[in-house]
Amino acid sequence: MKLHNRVKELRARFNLTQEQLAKKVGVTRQTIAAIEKGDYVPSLFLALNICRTFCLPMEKTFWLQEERDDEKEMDLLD
Amino acid sequence: MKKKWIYWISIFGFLLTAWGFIPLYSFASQVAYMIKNDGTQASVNITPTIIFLFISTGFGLLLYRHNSKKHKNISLKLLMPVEFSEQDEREKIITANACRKVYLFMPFVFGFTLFLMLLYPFIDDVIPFYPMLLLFVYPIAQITIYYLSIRKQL
Repeated sequence: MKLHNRVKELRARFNLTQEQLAKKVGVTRQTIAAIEKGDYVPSLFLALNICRTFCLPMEKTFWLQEERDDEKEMDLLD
Repeated sequence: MKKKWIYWISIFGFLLTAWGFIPLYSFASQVAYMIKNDGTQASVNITPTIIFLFISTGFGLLLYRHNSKKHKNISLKLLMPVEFSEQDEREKIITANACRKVYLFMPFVFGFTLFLMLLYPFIDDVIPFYPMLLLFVYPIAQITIYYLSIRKQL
Protein backbone atom coordinates (compact mmCIF):
# COMPACT_ATOMS: atom_id res chain seq x y z
CA MET A 1 0.00 0.00 0.00
CA LYS A 2 1.37 3.41 -0.97
CA LEU A 3 0.18 6.94 -0.32
CA HIS A 4 -0.27 8.91 -3.54
CA ASN A 5 -0.97 12.62 -3.80
CA ARG A 6 -1.78 15.47 -6.18
CA VAL A 7 0.22 18.10 -4.38
CA LYS A 8 2.43 18.93 -7.38
CA GLU A 9 -0.55 19.28 -9.70
CA LEU A 10 -2.56 21.36 -7.23
CA ARG A 11 0.41 23.56 -6.45
CA ALA A 12 0.78 24.33 -10.16
CA ARG A 13 -2.95 25.05 -10.42
CA PHE A 14 -2.78 27.47 -7.47
CA ASN A 15 0.38 29.07 -8.92
CA LEU A 16 2.44 28.32 -5.86
CA THR A 17 6.13 27.49 -5.71
CA GLN A 18 7.35 24.76 -3.36
CA GLU A 19 8.80 27.49 -1.18
CA GLN A 20 5.46 29.37 -0.97
CA LEU A 21 3.47 26.27 -0.14
CA ALA A 22 6.09 25.25 2.42
CA LYS A 23 5.77 28.64 4.10
CA LYS A 24 1.96 28.43 4.12
CA VAL A 25 1.93 25.03 5.86
CA GLY A 26 4.96 25.70 8.07
CA VAL A 27 7.53 23.22 6.76
CA THR A 28 10.73 23.37 4.69
CA ARG A 29 10.78 23.38 0.88
CA GLN A 30 12.58 20.01 0.95
CA THR A 31 9.64 18.46 2.79
CA ILE A 32 7.19 19.59 0.09
CA ALA A 33 9.55 18.19 -2.57
CA ALA A 34 9.77 14.87 -0.68
CA ILE A 35 5.95 14.66 -0.38
CA GLU A 36 5.52 15.35 -4.10
CA LYS A 37 8.01 12.64 -5.01
CA GLY A 38 6.31 10.22 -2.61
CA ASP A 39 9.48 9.88 -0.55
CA TYR A 40 7.85 11.17 2.62
CA VAL A 41 4.44 10.36 4.12
CA PRO A 42 3.25 13.54 5.88
CA SER A 43 1.64 13.54 9.30
CA LEU A 44 -2.14 13.86 9.49
CA PHE A 45 -1.74 17.42 10.70
CA LEU A 46 0.47 18.43 7.76
CA ALA A 47 -1.72 16.60 5.24
CA LEU A 48 -4.82 18.40 6.55
CA ASN A 49 -2.96 21.68 6.44
CA ILE A 50 -2.06 21.10 2.77
CA CYS A 51 -5.68 20.15 1.98
CA ARG A 52 -6.88 23.33 3.66
CA THR A 53 -4.48 25.41 1.55
CA PHE A 54 -6.00 23.90 -1.60
CA CYS A 55 -9.58 24.03 -0.18
CA LEU A 56 -10.03 20.34 -0.94
CA PRO A 57 -11.06 17.34 1.16
CA MET A 58 -8.39 14.84 2.14
CA GLU A 59 -9.47 12.08 -0.27
CA LYS A 60 -9.09 14.41 -3.27
CA THR A 61 -5.51 15.25 -2.36
CA PHE A 62 -4.16 12.06 -0.79
CA TRP A 63 -5.25 8.46 -1.41
CA LEU A 64 -3.98 4.95 -0.80
CA GLN A 65 -3.21 2.60 -3.64
CA GLU A 66 -1.98 -0.98 -3.86
CA GLU A 67 1.59 -1.13 -5.14
CA ARG A 68 2.21 -3.04 -8.35
CA ASP A 69 4.70 -5.91 -8.13
CA ASP A 70 7.32 -4.11 -10.23
CA GLU A 71 7.02 -1.03 -7.98
CA LYS A 72 7.51 -3.22 -4.91
CA GLU A 73 10.68 -4.64 -6.46
CA MET A 74 11.96 -1.13 -7.16
CA ASP A 75 11.27 -0.15 -3.53
CA LEU A 76 13.18 -3.19 -2.31
CA LEU A 77 16.11 -2.29 -4.56
CA ASP A 78 16.11 1.27 -3.16
CA MET B 1 25.49 25.33 6.05
CA LYS B 2 25.98 22.12 4.12
CA LYS B 3 26.01 18.94 6.17
CA LYS B 4 29.22 17.80 4.49
CA TRP B 5 31.03 20.91 5.68
CA ILE B 6 29.66 20.57 9.17
CA TYR B 7 30.89 16.97 9.26
CA TRP B 8 34.44 17.82 8.16
CA ILE B 9 34.63 20.84 10.49
CA SER B 10 33.57 18.58 13.37
CA ILE B 11 36.21 15.99 12.46
CA PHE B 12 38.77 18.81 12.30
CA GLY B 13 37.53 20.00 15.72
CA PHE B 14 38.05 16.54 17.26
CA LEU B 15 41.54 16.21 15.76
CA LEU B 16 42.36 19.70 17.02
CA THR B 17 41.13 18.75 20.50
CA ALA B 18 43.33 15.64 20.46
CA TRP B 19 46.31 17.75 19.35
CA GLY B 20 45.59 20.31 22.07
CA PHE B 21 45.25 17.74 24.86
CA ILE B 22 48.19 15.45 24.03
CA PRO B 23 50.76 17.87 25.59
CA LEU B 24 48.58 18.14 28.72
CA TYR B 25 48.44 14.33 28.96
CA SER B 26 52.19 14.18 28.57
CA PHE B 27 52.58 16.83 31.29
CA ALA B 28 50.24 14.90 33.62
CA SER B 29 52.33 11.76 33.03
CA GLN B 30 55.52 13.66 33.91
CA VAL B 31 53.94 15.08 37.07
CA ALA B 32 52.75 11.61 38.09
CA TYR B 33 56.24 10.22 37.50
CA MET B 34 57.70 13.12 39.50
CA ILE B 35 55.44 12.44 42.48
CA LYS B 36 56.12 8.71 42.46
CA ASN B 37 59.89 9.00 42.00
CA ASP B 38 60.71 12.24 43.79
CA GLY B 39 61.57 14.00 40.56
CA THR B 40 62.01 17.72 40.37
CA GLN B 41 60.98 18.90 36.96
CA ALA B 42 58.26 18.56 34.38
CA SER B 43 57.87 20.51 31.16
CA VAL B 44 55.02 21.12 28.76
CA ASN B 45 54.75 22.58 25.27
CA ILE B 46 51.61 24.65 25.73
CA THR B 47 51.40 26.04 22.15
CA PRO B 48 49.01 23.33 20.79
CA THR B 49 46.73 23.79 23.82
CA ILE B 50 46.63 27.57 23.37
CA ILE B 51 45.89 27.21 19.64
CA PHE B 52 43.17 24.67 20.49
CA LEU B 53 41.60 26.99 23.09
CA PHE B 54 41.74 29.94 20.68
CA ILE B 55 40.12 28.07 17.76
CA SER B 56 37.57 26.22 19.92
CA THR B 57 36.47 29.53 21.48
CA GLY B 58 35.91 30.83 17.93
CA PHE B 59 33.90 27.72 17.04
CA GLY B 60 31.92 28.06 20.27
CA LEU B 61 30.99 31.66 19.49
CA LEU B 62 29.97 30.73 15.92
CA LEU B 63 27.83 27.86 17.26
CA TYR B 64 26.19 30.20 19.79
CA ARG B 65 25.44 32.75 17.04
CA HIS B 66 24.08 30.04 14.74
CA ASN B 67 21.87 28.58 17.51
CA SER B 68 20.68 32.03 18.63
CA LYS B 69 18.77 32.36 15.34
CA LYS B 70 16.94 29.08 15.91
CA HIS B 71 16.45 28.80 19.67
CA LYS B 72 15.43 31.11 22.48
CA ASN B 73 16.41 28.86 25.38
CA ILE B 74 19.94 29.65 26.60
CA SER B 75 20.84 25.98 27.21
CA LEU B 76 19.78 25.08 23.65
CA LYS B 77 21.86 27.96 22.30
CA LEU B 78 24.92 26.58 24.07
CA LEU B 79 24.40 22.84 23.68
CA MET B 80 22.47 22.11 20.49
CA PRO B 81 24.83 20.49 17.96
CA VAL B 82 25.01 22.38 14.68
CA GLU B 83 24.40 19.19 12.65
CA PHE B 84 20.89 18.80 14.14
CA SER B 85 18.13 19.86 11.74
CA GLU B 86 14.72 19.98 13.36
CA GLN B 87 12.89 22.70 11.46
CA ASP B 88 9.86 20.56 10.60
CA GLU B 89 8.37 17.11 11.18
CA ARG B 90 10.34 15.41 8.39
CA GLU B 91 13.67 16.75 9.63
CA LYS B 92 12.76 15.73 13.18
CA ILE B 93 12.09 12.16 12.00
CA ILE B 94 15.35 12.04 10.00
CA THR B 95 17.31 13.33 13.00
CA ALA B 96 15.56 10.87 15.34
CA ASN B 97 16.35 7.94 13.01
CA ALA B 98 19.98 9.02 12.72
CA CYS B 99 20.27 9.26 16.52
CA ARG B 100 18.72 5.79 16.83
CA LYS B 101 21.28 4.42 14.38
CA VAL B 102 24.11 6.04 16.33
CA TYR B 103 22.77 4.49 19.57
CA LEU B 104 22.57 1.03 17.94
CA PHE B 105 26.14 1.22 16.61
CA MET B 106 27.78 2.50 19.79
CA PRO B 107 28.15 -0.92 21.49
CA PHE B 108 30.10 -2.11 18.43
CA VAL B 109 32.28 1.00 18.54
CA PHE B 110 32.84 0.35 22.26
CA GLY B 111 33.90 -3.25 21.52
CA PHE B 112 36.21 -2.05 18.74
CA THR B 113 37.79 0.56 21.04
CA LEU B 114 38.23 -2.09 23.74
CA PHE B 115 39.97 -4.34 21.23
CA LEU B 116 42.27 -1.49 20.13
CA MET B 117 43.12 -0.87 23.79
CA LEU B 118 44.74 -4.32 23.87
CA LEU B 119 47.45 -2.96 21.58
CA TYR B 120 48.53 -0.38 24.14
CA PRO B 121 51.10 -2.54 26.03
CA PHE B 122 52.87 -3.15 22.71
CA ILE B 123 53.10 0.46 21.61
CA ASP B 124 53.21 2.48 24.84
CA ASP B 125 56.87 3.35 24.18
CA VAL B 126 56.12 4.72 20.71
CA ILE B 127 52.74 6.37 21.39
CA PRO B 128 52.46 7.00 25.14
CA PHE B 129 49.26 9.04 24.61
CA TYR B 130 47.53 6.13 22.81
CA PRO B 131 44.61 5.89 25.35
CA MET B 132 43.99 9.59 24.79
CA LEU B 133 43.71 9.00 21.03
CA LEU B 134 41.36 6.06 21.55
CA LEU B 135 38.94 8.31 23.43
CA PHE B 136 38.45 10.20 20.17
CA VAL B 137 37.31 7.08 18.31
CA TYR B 138 33.98 7.44 20.10
CA PRO B 139 32.94 10.99 19.04
CA ILE B 140 34.39 10.53 15.54
CA ALA B 141 32.43 7.27 15.06
CA GLN B 142 29.32 8.95 16.47
CA ILE B 143 29.37 11.90 14.07
CA THR B 144 30.36 9.69 11.12
CA ILE B 145 27.41 7.32 11.65
CA TYR B 146 25.10 10.30 12.11
CA TYR B 147 26.38 11.99 8.94
CA LEU B 148 26.15 8.81 6.83
CA SER B 149 22.56 8.38 8.01
CA ILE B 150 21.36 11.90 7.14
CA ARG B 151 23.46 12.81 4.11
CA LYS B 152 21.05 11.50 1.46
CA GLN B 153 17.90 12.75 3.16
CA LEU B 154 18.64 16.33 4.22
